Amino acid sequence: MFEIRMPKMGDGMTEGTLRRWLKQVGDAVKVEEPIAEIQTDKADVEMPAEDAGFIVQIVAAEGETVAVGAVIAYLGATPDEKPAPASAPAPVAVREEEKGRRGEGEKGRGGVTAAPSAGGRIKSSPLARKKAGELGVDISTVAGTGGGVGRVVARDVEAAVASRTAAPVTAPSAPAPQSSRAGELPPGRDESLSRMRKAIARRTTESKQTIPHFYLVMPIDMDAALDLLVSLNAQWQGEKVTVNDLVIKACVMALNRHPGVNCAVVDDDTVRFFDSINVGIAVGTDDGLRIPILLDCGRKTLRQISQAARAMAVKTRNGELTPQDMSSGTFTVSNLGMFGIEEFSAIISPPQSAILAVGAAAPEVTVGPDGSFVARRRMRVTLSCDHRTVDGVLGSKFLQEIKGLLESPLNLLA
Amino acid sequence: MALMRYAEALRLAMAEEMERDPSVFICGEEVGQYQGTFRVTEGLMQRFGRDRVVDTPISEIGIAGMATGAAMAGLRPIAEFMTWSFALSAMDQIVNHAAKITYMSGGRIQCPVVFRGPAGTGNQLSAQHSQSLEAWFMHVPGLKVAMPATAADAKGLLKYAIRDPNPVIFMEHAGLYAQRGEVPEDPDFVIPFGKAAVVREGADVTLVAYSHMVSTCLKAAVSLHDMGISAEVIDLRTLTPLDMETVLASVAKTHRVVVTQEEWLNVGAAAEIAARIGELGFDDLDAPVLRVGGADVPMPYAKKLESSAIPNEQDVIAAALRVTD
Repeated sequence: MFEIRMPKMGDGMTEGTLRRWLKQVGDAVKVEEPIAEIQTDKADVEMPAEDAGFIVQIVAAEGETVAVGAVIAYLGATPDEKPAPASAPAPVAVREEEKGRRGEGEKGRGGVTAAPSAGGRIKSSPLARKKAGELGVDISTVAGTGGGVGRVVARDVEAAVASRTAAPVTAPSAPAPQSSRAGELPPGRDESLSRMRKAIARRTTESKQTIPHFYLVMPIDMDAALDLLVSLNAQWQGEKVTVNDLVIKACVMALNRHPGVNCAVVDDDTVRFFDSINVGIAVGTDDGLRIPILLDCGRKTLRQISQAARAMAVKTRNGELTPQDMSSGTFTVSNLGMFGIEEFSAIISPPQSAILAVGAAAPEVTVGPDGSFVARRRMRVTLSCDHRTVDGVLGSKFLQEIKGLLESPLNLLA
Repeated sequence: MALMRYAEALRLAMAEEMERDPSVFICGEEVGQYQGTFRVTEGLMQRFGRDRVVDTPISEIGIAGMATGAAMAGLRPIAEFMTWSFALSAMDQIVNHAAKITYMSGGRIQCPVVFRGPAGTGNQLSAQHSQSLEAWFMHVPGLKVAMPATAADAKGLLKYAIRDPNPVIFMEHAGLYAQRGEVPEDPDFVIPFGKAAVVREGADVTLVAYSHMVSTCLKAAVSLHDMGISAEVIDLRTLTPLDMETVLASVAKTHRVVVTQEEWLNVGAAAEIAARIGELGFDDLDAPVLRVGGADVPMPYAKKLESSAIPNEQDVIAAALRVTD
């Protein structure tokens, strides 16, 4: 008897919705054969079977949202093998019966209640708190069974992760939806948020609440870069290079020069400098924001970056992005120049340390070298920085690097 | 290896060190002609002569003062107290002189004295003879404190104590004197201070012990095993220096710990060990650190009252069950 569990299909995935079962009870399943369609925050994906056998019980109904790691079905060796009852961590369950003392913790499964003390403080052991931090579990959602006083101990956190009956919460979640203000608002049509909108709400709220943002704006003279673009596109038949490709290439070269920007806060004591440069491109679609990632850009040429970006654009348009396509970003570029936006500031995509917001390249009158007025195409970029890892000086040097590269764009071809 | 009693192992340690180093001598009440109240020094005066096994008047302050002075003058005395309860009248010599002279002389005067004798509780010896006072000595900088739990450790630790250039408080347990164990006969076998022994490995709870409580904890561990709880037992061997590294490594593995001692719980050795676990191993703890110790009363003479005042296997099991619940 195998348990089939909700797989983790990308960074930050904590739960998934079972859109459709592709196999029913009694069906034979081969290894790697798709058995269900799972909808995550980011995409719809087919879930392959890890073991061969027969589906003997389906636990998660279509449309149901369950936590990563929760059992969604059972696979038997024969079509009529009896499914197991609940899957509880065996050793703990045995001891619970032995001592007949942890009944309340057991009851808590499925709708788990925390065990606050009189003062409202949740009793938990130091080890349980450490584990909860490491595993991204909100300790207030875990039922405590320890010490005869309902203290949350390490085994409770592990059980919560294993069964995921307690929904894990990473970092602060969007606070608004919890307290409904339906009654206070003027009348209107209520529509439930899509999973993607919920994910955007959660991620941006988390970012703004936990990352101390500051912003640096840099004007860039784009005349030379735009001229280069015209000649490149004339030569590279059928491979349209965009302004954004030039910006991404400039960012990659600047990140190579200033690796301090290509990092993330690990915890209060640690920052991780990433080995590779994985640039996310924020892409608005009709049903929300997607950020496909161009992996390992550090050694890619402009042409390779342009090709990779084009491939991701096609996948995004066709709704074919997989969770892997949107995982492991280390830096993000967001461009609203095509809408005529002159400049804007973007919200950092956690756990990254910075995001570059790119405005339109538009003609502006400026003072030329001889004191005369001349029209030049100017573009403004805004770097949003996590002040825990990137200071003003580092951010400014990083932007100077980008400016220098785009104003002398032949360097981008080096 | 030879099978011998704890008391014999102590005697062997002293005899070997006296052979090895002519500056080692023994002094105390009834250590010579009477061959020791607990027969620890049996035969030693006959073997080494009256100059090296010295019977003293009944004056603990005199014994401690003479031994301290002899150590300062370059000898290596082993001063025996008939029991550690009697050492209380020698506290000034031990605490204010032996423990401090090296410091106060800027290191020019060493004081390699060993104060040894039976400690611990039991045997209906009543309030003035049945008590465990190791925390008093742990409290004082400049003293080392050893409390062996086995015959082999009794030999290895006492030999180390005699060779150590500092004053050592060597507390034997009267209840262990007759216990037998395998003891290395190698005259160079010594056990350095500050290295605890993991005497039983386990995964669920750490029982920290020393002296007689080691065997109590080992018995408790067997019962706990039958209840499905795997207990690790640590024998600290010495309280100063205290091997927290071994304790913390164990706590990092089991996440639950019970510290045991025979002495009263108030400000005892277990309190110090528990505090250090809290300071250094906080994030590894999955339950409060519990202590097991003696009842907070002068030791009763009546047998039943006495046995309820001394911590036993059941007390250790109860504490282990509480932290693993």
